[in-house]
Amino acid sequence: MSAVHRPLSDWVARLVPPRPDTAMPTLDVINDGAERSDARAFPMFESGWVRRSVTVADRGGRVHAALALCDPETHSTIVELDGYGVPLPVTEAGLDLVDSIERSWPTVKLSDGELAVLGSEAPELRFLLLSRLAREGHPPARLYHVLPWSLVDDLARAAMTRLGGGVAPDPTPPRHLLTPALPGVTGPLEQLHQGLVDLDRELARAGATAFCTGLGEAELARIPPSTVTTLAELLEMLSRFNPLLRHRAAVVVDRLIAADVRHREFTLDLDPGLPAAASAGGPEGRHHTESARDDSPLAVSATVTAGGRLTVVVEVAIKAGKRRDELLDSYRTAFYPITIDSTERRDRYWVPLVGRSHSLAGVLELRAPRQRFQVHAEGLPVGVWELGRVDAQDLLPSLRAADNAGAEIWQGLANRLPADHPIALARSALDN
Amino acid sequence: LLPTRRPDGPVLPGDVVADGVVRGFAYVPTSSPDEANDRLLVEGDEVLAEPPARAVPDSAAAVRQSGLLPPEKLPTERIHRAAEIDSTLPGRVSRMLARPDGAWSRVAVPLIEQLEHRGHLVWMTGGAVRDLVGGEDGKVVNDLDLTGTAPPGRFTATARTVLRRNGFAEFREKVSPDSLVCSTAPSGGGRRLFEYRPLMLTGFRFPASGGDLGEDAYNRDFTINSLYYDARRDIVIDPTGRALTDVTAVPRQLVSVNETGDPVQLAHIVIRGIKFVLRWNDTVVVEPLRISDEPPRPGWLQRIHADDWPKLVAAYRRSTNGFTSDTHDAAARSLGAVAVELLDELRRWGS
Repeated sequence: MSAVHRPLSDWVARLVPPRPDTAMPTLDVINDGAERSDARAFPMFESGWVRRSVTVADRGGRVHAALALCDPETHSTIVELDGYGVPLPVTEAGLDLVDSIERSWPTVKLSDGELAVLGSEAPELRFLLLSRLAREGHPPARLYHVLPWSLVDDLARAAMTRLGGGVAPDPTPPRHLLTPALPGVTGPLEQLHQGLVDLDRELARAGATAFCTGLGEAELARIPPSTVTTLAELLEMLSRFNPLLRHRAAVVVDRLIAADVRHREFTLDLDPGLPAAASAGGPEGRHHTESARDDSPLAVSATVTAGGRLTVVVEVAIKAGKRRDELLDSYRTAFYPITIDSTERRDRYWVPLVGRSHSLAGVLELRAPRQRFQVHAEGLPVGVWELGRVDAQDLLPSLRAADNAGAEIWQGLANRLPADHPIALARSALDN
Repeated sequence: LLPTRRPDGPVLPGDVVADGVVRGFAYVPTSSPDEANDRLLVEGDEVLAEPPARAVPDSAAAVRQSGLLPPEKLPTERIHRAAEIDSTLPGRVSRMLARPDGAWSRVAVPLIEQLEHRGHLVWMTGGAVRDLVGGEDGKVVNDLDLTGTAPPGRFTATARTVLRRNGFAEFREKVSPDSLVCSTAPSGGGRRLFEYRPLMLTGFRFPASGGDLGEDAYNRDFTINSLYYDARRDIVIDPTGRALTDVTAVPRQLVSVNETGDPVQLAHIVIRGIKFVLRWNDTVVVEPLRISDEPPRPGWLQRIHADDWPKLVAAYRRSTNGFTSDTHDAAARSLGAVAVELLDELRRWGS
């Protein structure tokens, strides 16, 4: 016997045989009292255990056919628990599959029929199985399709209904269940939906922003095609409501539907040597400019002078008016993220966008890197809410590089926000 | 200085409902817990083998509100303004709660605010308060431990809303039906955002909450871990009346006032005592271990059931991991004969 069968869950409990006053076996305490420990790493599971299912009563008196491990020598039985101390339910077919998967661990080859069986087991069991497989091996992408994707579909459709002005019953939240396949997406989706339910524009906007960011980094093969379609549909809908999302959402949607996204990439390649080689003008007059725009409202340009100054201008074409005011309310101030990448360093900046009659625009002014460098404008605009989660030290370069209009915005926010907000702390650090 | 009870707030122990005087709350686990998992306990339920089916009313508006908030049950000299203990303490606590590298930093304050909004009281406790009140900078704090009046189901439902609104819906929540500890951590494992255990209530045949601060404090391992910090009001509560002295003493004192008569629980306290002595080395002075001013009765080790020894051995190994065996002996000797006796027995079972 080898370490073939170990718990899927970090919580287990010993099975206590029925006493004269109990008809059913019961459970001992979680992890022998070590609740903070991870049962999967307990030395006792190094060898000798076999899979079985047991009928057991939980602490609420409900009876479960639960996933368990048994030591044939000692007849000790360990029941696997979910995060609430409830036995993990399993069917006989599901038990056979877990047993079989563990025998070839971490290599998994399942037929379509076996995948269907696994897909009908309890969501927490599927989550725990995929979590451990993902940590200890490289499961094939289609294995992730057994996760409870209908929860994501239902939540995305409910969000679309709310965005369209309708009312949908609150769907069952996916919580942590999809994270082995799709981290960073369902949490923001829940946040977006909650914002729509509560009519909280900032919450919904922040959720939409994080949803777009997360989806842009997702491993698409792990998501069933029908869910990809639903998520792309939601993202397109969000970008119709929020022009600040439009460029990035289009890139992500292109990626979701396997289109070529290179033509949309806003990466500007600059060589500080080029302006110096130009013949006319003084050190600041000789310059080299690169710019990018697409069919979204976003345009970005970067200019480097022979004197070594770099100016980055971000402009989003949105006319002044009530809709723009409402949109900006959801950011409190919108900041466009810019990354400057050179062999010397990689720096992140947030450029505050200032309202003009036909656009929102922001300017970054700083010393250019000495070697060839890139200006990346591939991120998503964020608001005060997100900057509240950034270390004040990381905001300092943005404050230093702000033009006059930007500096006024930073100062105004620092005056209005609590003294311990990173923007206020960074503004204060700038003075010191 | 003290919070006051809201008429539309939650039911408190001491209130009177149709079935009798409220004693506290039980919890029945399911795989999606919320307020419906909490059960109301009244006087007389102490004899029940399982929690009753009695639901907890949504608010105390329709009950006779004769219960008191936990701080109201304490003598006023056990309640201190944090700034009067140390003028820098409130600032250090708020900086600790907002520490960018603290796992809890994005949720601690909104969680505390939301629990208070729903009429519950919540306090920081454990190592964080011990270290901060002891004069340490908040940077030494590794975990955020909370306690309060909200039963597990209500706490979990509230925390879930806060986590969702703050972008942490993907984190995995847990509720232990054994300890009633509620926690949330990254789904793939990692540092917990927080750990909450409702105020402990003893005297029932199943885990229960809704006790007062004194009962909770006397059930903790050592006085230094029995301070409570109200982060909304910057108040320090010392229910035993000696924790502040023991924490601020140089070197600090390791004293247990746990009143347990359970030898297994006593053994766990001794093991934790060994852990603290090992960890703090010469920064701690210990009294010979005694429980509630009484040394454990002779033969207490023989009252520990054979099934419990493997768990105690595992706890001992976790607590002393990384320290050499001879240092264990020295730590046990500093705790007195009770610890030396236990260590010998742990080694015998461990081998």
